[in-house]
Amino acid sequence: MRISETWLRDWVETPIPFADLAAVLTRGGFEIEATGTVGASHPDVVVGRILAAEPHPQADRLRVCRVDLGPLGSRTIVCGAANARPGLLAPVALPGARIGERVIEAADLRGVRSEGMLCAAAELGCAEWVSGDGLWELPPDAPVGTWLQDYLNFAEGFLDIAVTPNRGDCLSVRGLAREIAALTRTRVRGGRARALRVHGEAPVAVVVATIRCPRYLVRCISGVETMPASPGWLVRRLRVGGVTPRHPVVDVTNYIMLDLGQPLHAFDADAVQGPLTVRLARAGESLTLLDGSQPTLTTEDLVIADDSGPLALAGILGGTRAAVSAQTRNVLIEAAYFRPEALSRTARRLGLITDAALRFERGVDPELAPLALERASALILRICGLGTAHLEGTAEPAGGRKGITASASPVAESVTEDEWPARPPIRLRLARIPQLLGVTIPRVQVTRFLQSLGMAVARSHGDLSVRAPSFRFDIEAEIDLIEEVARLWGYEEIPGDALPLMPVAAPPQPGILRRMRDLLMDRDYHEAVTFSLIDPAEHRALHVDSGIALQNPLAGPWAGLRQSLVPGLLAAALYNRHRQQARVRLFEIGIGFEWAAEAIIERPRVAGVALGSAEPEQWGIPARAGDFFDIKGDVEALASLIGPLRARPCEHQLLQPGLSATLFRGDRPVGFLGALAPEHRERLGFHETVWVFEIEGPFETPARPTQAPEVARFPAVRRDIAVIVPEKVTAGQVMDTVRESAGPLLQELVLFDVYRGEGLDLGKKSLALGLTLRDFSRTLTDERVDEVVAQAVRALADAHGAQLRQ
Amino acid sequence: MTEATPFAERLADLEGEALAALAAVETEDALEAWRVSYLGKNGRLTGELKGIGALTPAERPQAGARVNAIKAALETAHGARREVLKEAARSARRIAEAVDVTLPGRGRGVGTAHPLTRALARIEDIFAGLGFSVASGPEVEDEFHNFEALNIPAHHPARAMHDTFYLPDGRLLRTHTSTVQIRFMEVERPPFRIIAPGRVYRADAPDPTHSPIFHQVEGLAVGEGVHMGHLKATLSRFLEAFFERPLTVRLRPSYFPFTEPSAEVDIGCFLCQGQGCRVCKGTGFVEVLGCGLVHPRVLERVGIDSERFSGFAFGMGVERLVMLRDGVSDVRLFYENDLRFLASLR
Repeated sequence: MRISETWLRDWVETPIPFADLAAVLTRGGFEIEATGTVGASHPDVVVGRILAAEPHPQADRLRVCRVDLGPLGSRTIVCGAANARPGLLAPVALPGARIGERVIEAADLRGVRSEGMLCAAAELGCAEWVSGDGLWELPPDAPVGTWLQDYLNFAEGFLDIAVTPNRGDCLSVRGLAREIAALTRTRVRGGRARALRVHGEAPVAVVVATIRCPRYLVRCISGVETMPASPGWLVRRLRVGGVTPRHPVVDVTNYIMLDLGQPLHAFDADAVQGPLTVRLARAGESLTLLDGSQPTLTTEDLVIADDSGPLALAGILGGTRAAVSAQTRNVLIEAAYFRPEALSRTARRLGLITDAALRFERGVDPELAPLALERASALILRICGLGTAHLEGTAEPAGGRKGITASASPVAESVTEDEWPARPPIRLRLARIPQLLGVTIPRVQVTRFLQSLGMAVARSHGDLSVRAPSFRFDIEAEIDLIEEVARLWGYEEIPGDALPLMPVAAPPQPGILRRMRDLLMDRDYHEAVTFSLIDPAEHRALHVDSGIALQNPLAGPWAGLRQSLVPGLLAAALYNRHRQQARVRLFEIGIGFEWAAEAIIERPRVAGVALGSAEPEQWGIPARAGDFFDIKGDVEALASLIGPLRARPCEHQLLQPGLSATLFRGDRPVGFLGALAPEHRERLGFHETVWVFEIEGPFETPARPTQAPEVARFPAVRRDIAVIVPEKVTAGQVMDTVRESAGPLLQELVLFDVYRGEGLDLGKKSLALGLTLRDFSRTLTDERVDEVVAQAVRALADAHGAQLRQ
Repeated sequence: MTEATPFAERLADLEGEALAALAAVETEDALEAWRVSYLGKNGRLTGELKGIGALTPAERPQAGARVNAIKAALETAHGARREVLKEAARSARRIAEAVDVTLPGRGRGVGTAHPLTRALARIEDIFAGLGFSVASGPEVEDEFHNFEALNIPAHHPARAMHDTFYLPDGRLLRTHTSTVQIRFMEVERPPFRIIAPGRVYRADAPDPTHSPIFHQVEGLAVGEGVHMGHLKATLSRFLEAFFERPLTVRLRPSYFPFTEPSAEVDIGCFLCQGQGCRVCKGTGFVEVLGCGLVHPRVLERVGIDSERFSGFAFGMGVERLVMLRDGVSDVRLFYENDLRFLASLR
């Protein structure tokens, strides 16, 4: 909501300089979004009137204009604009004026001397002041020969104020003036309507067929003489409010909305057939709106209709059928109170959060309609009711219509006061103020604050009974009053106070995720954070799609929720690969989403991607590409934190067969590791092997033992054996067999060599195993050790056809 | 004066010869051979000792003493020579094993934490010090927890403040971590103090200051007699700890449906010392978070007596805090994961 200084001062005379009001409003809860002046400085631009516009003798597209500059005489100006015509009032940049980057000079244009430039609004940085292009057609009251910036008061300051959704009453200059008055201890003025002299009968029957519209006023103004444009002051104020001038009647309704906060609507009375009806739309009904759209309506939509159907979406936007146009002679002006919830659903469904809808859904004072209607009527009569000939500088002949005056009809009204928002008295317990604010505020002060906001305050059993004014839709309970008191008291006047101590329960498993993060960082991975919104097609291609798509995604690769973190990491790795990083190691710990029956499970996951050399480039050790066992080492390190994981060969379509494994916790697959399958690697554009792993949670530190284990007192015995097995037998199978067969004496089993080649048959390999045996109750004898090892060798022979290698 | 006997002369010659031979010894092996040769079981000095038996009883004590003295002298000389040889060997080793200590060390590098998770950890640690524990809730939420329970009924204009992503079944991606307030209070009773860090979602296309995904930390403290002054002090302490400098902290009235009174919190711009700059848009203040007293209706909805208990809540955008603290100019940098960026904020 933008206000300018003179506009604000129409309503409130505060001693505080306009520029300082920004700080006052900020302290009062109104954020200042921007400050500035109404227009840019244009010292050498003057209002001119085109007296004559002749074709240029040498150029088809140019015209030679004779322009009256009042006290500055008249000049010849060559102009290429299509709307250059006698009678037009337009800005003239004199020689020496700076327009954008260039300085205007008198010059010969194809043999004709041009002494200045006729300007378009855009050339003066004022594109938003007008709806058309070509020369800026200034309002008819623009005084010829005055400086444009003086006429339109470009130097006046404005404040652009953010109004929170609870304060619909401040979406008007008057509303903000009320706040400023309260915040600066002054009063607002005005606000009473002068009764208009009316003629004839109520214009049209009003039928309100819904409780959503507890008040509906309409009046006809007949004999409207429309002019090409609204006067300068109105154009200026619309510009301050951010509204483009269109038609004087529409301009007035918009101005009243900005000034008072009451949205109005104008219909062409001659296009309305039969009584005006406020009703719910019938399913499937439609109308063409002023923005050109043709929504199909439902029974939740409120419309203003006549006998032929809907004329307007009530409180949102008018239709084209009864729109005010240049030919309109008689207008119906509507001022209504629609309940906040009456139209917000419609406005949001159709994406039509118009200025009117914005105000109605936040609450418009139901008592405001008569004042707004009277003021709008008076303005329309003044601007459109007197003809145009009396205004100096208007070349268009008023002809026989000179001196016509328009007249206003009585008001037709439908009121259901029972349906107006109730403003019951609210009890304010003074003791609650220090309890909640931590500061004691005297009753007199509290009373004065609330009264300055237009509230009726009475004493009641030592406390206060407060009734909010009709324009406040956000005051319903005691806490709302306490907030108002705090606001006017000033938040900065509330002293800080440390919370008293409170014991904190230590979490049972402190920070496993942090521990995992630290471990991966210490193993030379950088942490990444990637989007959990993903492109489902891409994830489907990688066979890791969650199948959870958004109903209303943004345009872009963000239409679904990720299940796996790997694609995001691959994208990040590729991003870095394309930026000259030859070695990329990234991990992420985050949530993946998956369907489980009807529910969506959010599961923590850890994933990593690594490409390039195993170690950073360094001297003294040969460069070596990272391989499966490098990444498996990282996974095993994680397993030391989160509990044992077993790797078994896998066939995940993301990964390269033979170079990938599924990770199991017990019998449950919980992740994978391996090389990205070549087809994915090529499609994504990687030129090297890409190693990935992912493990799903929940992650927990394995339960702590409640009693420390016994430290063995007897020495351990180590025996190494080498067994020859067929290639298809995995190391995991061999080690499992040894663990199962060796019994409880086996403390530790390491695999320390794998050998193929000379001395072995093709298709065989030798695995060297170190068994550490220990008995906790006695020293092991050689016989007992031999027995256990023999037992293991026998089991290996039985299970895998293994032979002991001599 | 005693006359030199042939035995004594022989002994003196032997000593002279042995010492000369020892001086020529250059290796451990030669040293051992020398020892065997002179002092060993069958060595020459031992042989002389056996010869004492052939002397007269009068000569024996003197001769014995003489042999022992020479033996001691040779042993001492042997020990000294051994030390010399050992030191020579150590010295040679020192020279042979010397390296250029300025060569880089070997091994793996060390990775880095992402600036966002590092900030989240810091925030958790600071609030832990103020007595707040960590709570969490789901990212896929329902209308009730994201809106209604937070006093944002359907079609309330405040919903327009949140551009919400929906799933086809009507569930949504939470637009704020305030949902965790409700989830927590549905189960727990006051007094409590929690923070809830997590991801939130808004349907904003990415640009330098917007991201459809970002991180928030919600805070909630409810108890008897918790008031606005507590809120102010808690946030001031947090902000000064997070930014690691003294700050001007300003609360100004604002509106959130689930708090009342509500406030936005600004800190004095530390880039320009409040003089006005690009970061604070010339105002001298930058907005860092929103907060307020928990709305009584929110407490009542989860069955907490708002007459007996009161509390405050706050919510902050983690990206924004890190951007301010570390001078990051574009929120998208956090999600590009450029190694140069990640490694720069160690």
